Amino acid sequence: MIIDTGETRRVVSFDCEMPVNESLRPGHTACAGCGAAISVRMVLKAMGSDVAVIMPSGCMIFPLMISKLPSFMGPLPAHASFAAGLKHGLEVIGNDHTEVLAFSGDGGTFDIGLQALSGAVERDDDFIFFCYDNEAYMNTGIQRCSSTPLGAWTGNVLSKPTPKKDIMAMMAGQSITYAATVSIAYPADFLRKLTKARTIKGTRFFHVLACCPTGWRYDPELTVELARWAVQSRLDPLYEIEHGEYVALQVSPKKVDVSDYLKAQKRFAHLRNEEIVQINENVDHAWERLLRVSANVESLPY
Amino acid sequence: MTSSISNTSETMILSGNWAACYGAKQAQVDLISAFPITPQTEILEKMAELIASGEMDARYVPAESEHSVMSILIGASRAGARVFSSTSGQGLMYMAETVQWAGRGRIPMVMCICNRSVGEPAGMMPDHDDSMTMRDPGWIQYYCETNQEVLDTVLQGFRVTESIHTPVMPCLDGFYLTHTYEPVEIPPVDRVASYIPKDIDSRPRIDPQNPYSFGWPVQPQSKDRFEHYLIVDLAKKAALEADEEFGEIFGRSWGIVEPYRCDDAELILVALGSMVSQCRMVADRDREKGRKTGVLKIRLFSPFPKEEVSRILSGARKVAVVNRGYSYGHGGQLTLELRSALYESGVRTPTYDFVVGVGGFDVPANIIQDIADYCYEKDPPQFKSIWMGVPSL
Repeated sequence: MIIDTGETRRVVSFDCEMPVNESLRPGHTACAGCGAAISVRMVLKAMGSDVAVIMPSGCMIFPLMISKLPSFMGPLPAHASFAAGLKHGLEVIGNDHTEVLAFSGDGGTFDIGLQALSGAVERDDDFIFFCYDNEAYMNTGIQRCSSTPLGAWTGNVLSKPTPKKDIMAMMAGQSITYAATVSIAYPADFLRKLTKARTIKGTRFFHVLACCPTGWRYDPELTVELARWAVQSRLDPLYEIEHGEYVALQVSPKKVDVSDYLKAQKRFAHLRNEEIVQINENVDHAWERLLRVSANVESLPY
Repeated sequence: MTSSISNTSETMILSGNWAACYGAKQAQVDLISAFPITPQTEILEKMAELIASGEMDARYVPAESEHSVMSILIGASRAGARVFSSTSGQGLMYMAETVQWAGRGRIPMVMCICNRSVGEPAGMMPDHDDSMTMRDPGWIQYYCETNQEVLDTVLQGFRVTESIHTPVMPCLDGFYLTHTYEPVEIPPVDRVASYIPKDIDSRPRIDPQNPYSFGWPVQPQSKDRFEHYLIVDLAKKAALEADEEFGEIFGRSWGIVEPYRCDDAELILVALGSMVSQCRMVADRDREKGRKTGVLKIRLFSPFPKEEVSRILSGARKVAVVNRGYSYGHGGQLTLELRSALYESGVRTPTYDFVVGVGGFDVPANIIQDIADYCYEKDPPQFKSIWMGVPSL
């Protein structure tokens, strides 16, 4: 049994109180510079110790299978339903306090796991679904996914001809109880949203852009930097949805150009200028839409 | 809930579907999940009604697909809940990945299969090709002849599944049982509770106070598969014990196989499910004509009761296996199991591989009679199945 004392420590550079509790063990076998592993560690810190974890096939089985939490693995299309069933099962045997947390990569969220996720959201089953989106099937070795962005190289498509699926809009379209995007480069915002989600009952969905040095072809030390550029370039906007409404948009002050983000990764190295211009236009268009639909606009410190 | 607790059994006129529901109700299941598919749909409607009316204290989770139904059951069972479901035909096909997961993960649960043929072409009537595809992942499979047996098998199923931690699949023929009404005795909840107390299930579960991990990738050197083999091998014993104790408490038992007029039989008809009743009729008629025909009903199909089957069939001159399912390129699934058991025990009785009702066509007693007549007149053809009663254009 793990005891979470609830103790926190101030991290000055993040401007936040970081929980001391660690449910993830050191020595797991995720790649060096793995953005997903950073996000999973943050989530588990925020969730405390009264948690059960569900995970399908995906990169994060390696950290999670040796976590200190009760957990089980399910097949790739099924884990949202595994999580829903676990929560219902806990409730019918009289446990109404344990939080159920389903992790999944982009494949288990955007593609093969979408039906089960959609069913759970529609029933408003009470659990947290956390998608670490590394924009390709990284655990099987970089194959195209519906979350792969326009123009990206993968092992089976040399330059993806269609844009990324807007999973958040799909969640909003189902009037989801709570959904938020988070970034590993903004830990204060990340922790605030997870902590807020713990006070809400119903399906709660999170999306993190999980920078992947192995699949995106960049230097592992740039992971957090890339995540920050993604937010600052408006490519990975941070926002919250409640009951289908876009309630808040978090805006960073400094704008990095989308092309800086693209040029830092070899998976975009083949792009021609006009393609980069097109991607830039798409990002601007999505950003303007977000500004239009968001009820509140909040400022991020950096 | 309170109104239905009593010490005396109650007899109601129930369809096979409703008998399955009342089995789950008397077993006091904690959670059910199901997805509509004919001929199983009545089960989920009746369960939802019993829960909504307060007659049954359980939770009903309506899922968006069969794949999610089984996933929800696995999740809830991992939490320690007693869970129940049902499906048919294509539903089982769509559920297949998670049915395998539950079998190999040894997740306690009872799921009725209301047998229905498998497409393409799409069909609604029963054969055993759906449940037969799930022979291998370690589910305990029963085939029921009557609606009473359906209810009793659901109860025995919970006894078996929670004592050896392996899921149980009672199969009932679509329409022949699911939509046919018979008097069914419903045992009282408190006596059922003494037969399947909730604390017999002692497996580790998902609990943050005592964390366990399940299902994660293992090294190929893991001995999980071998242990699974040992457990499923024990399932026959568990099924026998469950049936015997059921008999002591409720005054009825079914056996894992049932020989009917087999003692001096020259020809034994072997079948599964509702078709056994037609076989009994033919045996009775044959006896009136002076022909020594018997019937062997296989109630427990998986694990296959090899010793019992071989012993009963060893005295016969001929064995006619009447299959309601077919493995293309191989033969009727029941024939394959049975021949393997006979070969292993050194019994060399000539065995006929008859195939009827595949695709769902009706199998009245006269088709079974044709089968018996065939056996008395001819020797079994070598390396061939015999399709009987195939509708002509």
